[in-house]
Amino acid sequence: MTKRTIHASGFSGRGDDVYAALLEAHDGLSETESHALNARLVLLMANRIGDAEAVRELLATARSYVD
Amino acid sequence: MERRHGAEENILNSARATSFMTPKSPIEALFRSETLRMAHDQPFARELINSGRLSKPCSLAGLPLQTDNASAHVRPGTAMVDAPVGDTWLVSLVQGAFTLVGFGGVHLPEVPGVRRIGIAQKSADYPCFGDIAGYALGRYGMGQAYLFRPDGHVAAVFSKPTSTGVAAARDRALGRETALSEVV
Repeated sequence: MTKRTIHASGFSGRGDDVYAALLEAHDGLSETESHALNARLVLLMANRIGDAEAVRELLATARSYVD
Repeated sequence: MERRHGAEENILNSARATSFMTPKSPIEALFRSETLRMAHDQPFARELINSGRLSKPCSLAGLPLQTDNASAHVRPGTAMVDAPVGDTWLVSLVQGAFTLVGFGGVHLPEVPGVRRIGIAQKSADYPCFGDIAGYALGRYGMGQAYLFRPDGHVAAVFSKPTSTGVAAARDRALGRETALSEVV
């Protein structure tokens, strides 16, 4: 298993709003279009985070859940 | 207006819970299953699991009866959070009447019709209670005065409460029109 970090909620109580916005962004897209949207979103978020180490840490955490 | 808002919040919460519990596309199902997978050990993912929020009190923040203060620990419009004080509980002290509660070093002005209670204050001309293990100050913030409605919602928060400011917030909570500018 790759290294996993644990993350407290950073949503300040607005988690439901964020989740709803996420699903809304995918509304009406084909599965292929949705995967493309997710890829763009990941790139945008990685750019917003900026720090390569921080991005690597999140990637490792996400990867650690692969069966 | 507040009841309409409460109903709308219930409907929104129900719609969102339904959409989480029964995903309507493969992508929604994917987000749901990965949220559940990470929720085993990730607190942030646990917050996203939505099997219904109707057990949470609805928030009246931003509605006209509240005097807003977004930087407050407990924002105006939200239901109060309880804390052990003295040999009792904050909720039981605040029920049934407009109550101004001072947490830590903040003096409470006298306002007709408003009950006053001090928490973790040395002495004052109103009843004071000790803060048990720092819960109350931790939850409400040091040196803050909270005006609670009789139903336990936060009506306003002050760092320097004045009698005019508190009276204006109380009038506003009662739906009386006042020339209210900055009272915080």
